[in-house]
Amino acid sequence: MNSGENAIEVENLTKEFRIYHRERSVKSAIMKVLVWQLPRLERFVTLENVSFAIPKGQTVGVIGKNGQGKSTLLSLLARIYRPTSGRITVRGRIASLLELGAGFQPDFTGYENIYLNGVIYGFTRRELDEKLESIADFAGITGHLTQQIKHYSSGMKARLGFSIAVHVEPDILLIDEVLAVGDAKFQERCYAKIEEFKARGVTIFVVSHDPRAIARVCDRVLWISNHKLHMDGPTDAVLAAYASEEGETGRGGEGE
Amino acid sequence: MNDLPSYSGGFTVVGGVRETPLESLREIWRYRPLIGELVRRDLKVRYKNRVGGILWSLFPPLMQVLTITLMVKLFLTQVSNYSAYLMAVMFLWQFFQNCILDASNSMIANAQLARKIYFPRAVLPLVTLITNAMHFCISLLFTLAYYFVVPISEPIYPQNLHPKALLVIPVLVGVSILSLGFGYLLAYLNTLYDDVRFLTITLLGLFFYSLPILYPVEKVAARPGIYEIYMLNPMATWLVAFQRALLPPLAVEGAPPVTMPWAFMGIAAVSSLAILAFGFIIFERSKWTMMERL
Repeated sequence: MNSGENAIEVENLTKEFRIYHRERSVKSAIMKVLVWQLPRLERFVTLENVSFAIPKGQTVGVIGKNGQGKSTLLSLLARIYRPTSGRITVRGRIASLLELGAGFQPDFTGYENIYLNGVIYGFTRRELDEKLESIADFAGITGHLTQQIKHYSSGMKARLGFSIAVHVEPDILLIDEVLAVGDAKFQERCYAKIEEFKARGVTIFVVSHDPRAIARVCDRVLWISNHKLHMDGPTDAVLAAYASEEGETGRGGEGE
Repeated sequence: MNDLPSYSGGFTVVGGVRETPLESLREIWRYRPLIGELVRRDLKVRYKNRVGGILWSLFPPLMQVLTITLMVKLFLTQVSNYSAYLMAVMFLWQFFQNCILDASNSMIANAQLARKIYFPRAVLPLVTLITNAMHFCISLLFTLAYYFVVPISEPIYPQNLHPKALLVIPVLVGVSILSLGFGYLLAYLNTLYDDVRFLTITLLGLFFYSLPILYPVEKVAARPGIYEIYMLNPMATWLVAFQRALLPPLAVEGAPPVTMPWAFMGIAAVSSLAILAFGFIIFERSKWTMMERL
């Protein structure tokens, strides 16, 4: 396949976090130099040598247990973190929904947050004026736009985040666990929107620990296990393998 | 890093490869609508109830001017019209101090946003600088108005208002560069250590005494060897230059008059730029690891 048709390319991606166990203060840093202690630094590899390519228009799910690197992968694609080694190439406008809600400023009102996010995604204020009503309407928060985001319920935040992300006309949409929040009615609207995006050729990347959500929308599934890409293939095959492994270890994937 | 024309068009990141400072600057330039949006919002919060908000934010430095003027008049040397000289430098000092404190807190204050969405992190300290500079312009207008009415018998202005007053613009740029440099450095340190904010406040409190605010700079000029070293501090030079641009030289008993310190201003410009370059490069080098520690 021609690489130009890939929306996302990830090559030999490794991400390592440093964990500091000491008190984080200037005082302790000076003490450390004075009494010559080695820093107690631990390296923690969250993703090791992950490679995959996603063609434009594909809907890909990422599945795996908690703490295995799924969310880190999404954060790397959203450019929140930089890989320790490896390469990530993204072609097109990427909108991300990382854990409940988009990037919100808690002190901003809902209205200001819509503008802030819209501007970061590259829209002008005038373009956003036109979208405002539709964004608020989809999120169902029309009456709360002048309230500060910190007074929103988590459901409202998630709905607004999803609404902004789908209104910025992304070429690539990153979704982390958001399909699990909100009431059934809102979830149905999200699924409908995802179907609409799929039809329009938007590349979608969904992270979830819920195999049912993945099965519903994805064409392909990446299974991350033990910080590595354990399996990559069609939805049915990967989910079947995942379910049997879950059964063996005796831990249900739904209760988390 | 970004080879597409629109800043939201796509990207490539390679592990372990850093952008050059020039690439970072270009990216910040592309994100200027975001800077505008954040400044707009900061100003809105600061001046929530319009005129009341503006007056209220002028209140703390004015109280300091009042207290120090009384103290100087009662216990220290008799300097005529000291409050006018004090007000100019006090507002400039407040600008410097607020810039540093706000910029150093900017990464933490915007952590919620930064953890969820990509934008060049270096815009955050820059936004606090722009907001504070706008606020300083308001206090400058207040200062100029004050000079037209005080002292009541014979106001300082208009007869002392010269074209050299325009020098406040380069001085303001100089102080902005200096405080932004410190702001970048401290924004970085603030994500690294939890007690940086307290240290910053303490050090700023000490730094205040090394500047010609509480005492006229003529007192320092009366001691040759010390004055030259004293004025190597860029902030001291900017404060003196600012005062001299707006006001006639001060007559202090037993001390030589200090005129516009041109040579020291050249040194201050160089050192301010060097501090900004240093702060910005440190910030840019660690902008990714900062995100992991927020």
